[in-house]
Amino acid sequence: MLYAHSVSPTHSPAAAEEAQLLAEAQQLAGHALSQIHTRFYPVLYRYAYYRTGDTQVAEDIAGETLMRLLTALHQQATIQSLRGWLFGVAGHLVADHFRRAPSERLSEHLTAPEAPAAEAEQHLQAQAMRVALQTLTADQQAVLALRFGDEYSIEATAEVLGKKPNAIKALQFRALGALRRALGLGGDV
Amino acid sequence: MTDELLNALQDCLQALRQGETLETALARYPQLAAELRPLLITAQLAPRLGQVAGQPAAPAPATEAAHRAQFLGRATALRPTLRPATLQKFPLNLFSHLWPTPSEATMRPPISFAVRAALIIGLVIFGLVAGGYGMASASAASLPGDPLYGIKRALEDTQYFFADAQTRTRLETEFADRRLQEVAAVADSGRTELIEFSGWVERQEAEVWIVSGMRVAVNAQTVVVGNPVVGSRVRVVGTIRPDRTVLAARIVRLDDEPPLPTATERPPEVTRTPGATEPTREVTRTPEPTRTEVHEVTNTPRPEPSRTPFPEPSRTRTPRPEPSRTPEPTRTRTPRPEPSRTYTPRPEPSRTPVPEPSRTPEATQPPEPSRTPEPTQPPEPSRTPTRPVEPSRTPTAPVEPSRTPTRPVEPSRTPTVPVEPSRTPTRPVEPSRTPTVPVEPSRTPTMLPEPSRTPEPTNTPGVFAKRHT
Repeated sequence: MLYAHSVSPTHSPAAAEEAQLLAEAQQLAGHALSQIHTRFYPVLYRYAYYRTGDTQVAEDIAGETLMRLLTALHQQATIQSLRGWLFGVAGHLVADHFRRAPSERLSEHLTAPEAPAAEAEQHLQAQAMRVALQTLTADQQAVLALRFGDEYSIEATAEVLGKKPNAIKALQFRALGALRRALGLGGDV
Repeated sequence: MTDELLNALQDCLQALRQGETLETALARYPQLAAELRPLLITAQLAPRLGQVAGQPAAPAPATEAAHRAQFLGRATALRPTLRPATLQKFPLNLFSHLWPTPSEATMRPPISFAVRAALIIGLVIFGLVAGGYGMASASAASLPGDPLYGIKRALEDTQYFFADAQTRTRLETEFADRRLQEVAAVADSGRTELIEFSGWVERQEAEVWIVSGMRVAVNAQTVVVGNPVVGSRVRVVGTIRPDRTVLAARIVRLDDEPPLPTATERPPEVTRTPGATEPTREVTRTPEPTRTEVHEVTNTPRPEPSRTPFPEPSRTRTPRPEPSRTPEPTRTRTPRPEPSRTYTPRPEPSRTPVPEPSRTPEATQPPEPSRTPEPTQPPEPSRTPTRPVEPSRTPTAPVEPSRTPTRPVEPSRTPTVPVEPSRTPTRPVEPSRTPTVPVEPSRTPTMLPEPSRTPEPTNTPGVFAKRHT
């Protein structure tokens, strides 16, 4: 039904699988860690790329996030949700990245490409969007990255961000409105 | 911002994602359309942030593989000393990457162990004399298919050869990681090359497995050894294709398996073998001893040695009973000693030991059959080069001194021994030998009188004793 996206505490099969993976990874079992790497490196990369627009930075963040997971596992830190933990760390690393060099990197990218006109045009649009994205709150950015960068469902996004599905719907609503305003597309929301 | 509005937005987004147009999506909420439209237009732009040149952003496979190696390496370092049993098998496969055919026989380097050992030593000397670091670094970046790749692998083997047990552990991990990175790099380069790597099975579907993040295509030609399951550590040999899929020729499970029924009997034998043989073969086999040690420590490994041997040994053995008659020829010898010493009993005991040594080699020695001929056949010397089996006897049979006089040939054999070890790892060849055995049967008839064959099985000692007493 239309409004069927209510809070459902039932865990998806993927979540159960990840819980299992996490349990094995806590023993630092090679096969579990290998699987975690396969599963999450690309996902974290996409997330970081969505938010930073820089492939190099995205690689660094995806890599660093997983390395921190190793450390946390080694120190036997409590991890409730593997996915949630990973995206949480990646989110912090994205924030750190912008704290270090906020506007520099963006302007760099705005002038960088020497590409065919259409591609350059597209690139500029993307850069304009990226600048606009930075005006959003971290939560709003995270929701956009997950929902539109990775096509996560409302429930999956809620799980990753540790919020309720309704909160994600509200965040998504506000994020789109804020992005629209930041892009100067006009129209009241 | 009501719940109704939030849900309407979500519903429209869902509709757009499923391919509906903006207008049809909005048509469901005529009263909210004015509010929803600008948001939905923005939502249609939103995915672009995650795209590179219109495609969803994705990490470069080589970068990902390199990071995986680093990640798993770090995990190994953090892990308490217990190592995965799987890494303990480290065949010396200097030239295996040159072998294009997937069958077992062809996967084994055709160059004898002695030659490889010589190459290794040669490389070491070269390294010392010429300060071979230049070459080492030049080959370091080489990939399967490159001219210097063989040197890279030889240098790795050399490094491994001279490392202590602890360093070997680290090197095994390091080399395994390197193989994975090489595969990813070859894939990036778009070449088609024969490659090998080890990794964990992450997913198994009918035609495609995921092994440590690598797509591995499995077809009817793929030889799968040891029934790998998800979570198993495996070695994959195959061809990397430009589509970044490895077409597997051979997948061998490296970690523990449920023990086979026969396993219980044999493990002791296997363990003996190293002990018996080591003294004589130390030079050639150095790699192997390390394994055996590791196994004992971890316990888990034991099953492994027993497995791999099993399949093959079982073949060899069944034939063996008959070939083992060949030992009977030894009896023929026995007559010889007898004249001098009349010790009929002694020769037999001495034989009994002989069979045992042969077992130990079991994995390694299909050659035994070849022995049989030896006694009877003066040609022995010629064989000896090929089949080092004899050495195994020497250690086992203290009686030999008495024989030695009778057999001038033996000393010559012993030198040749080194060659065998190389087979042992590769084993595949054994089947081919067994065929050769048929020749011996013809001899066997001559020996038939020697009902004592029964001894050959382990029981022999007992049987003999009874008879003679």
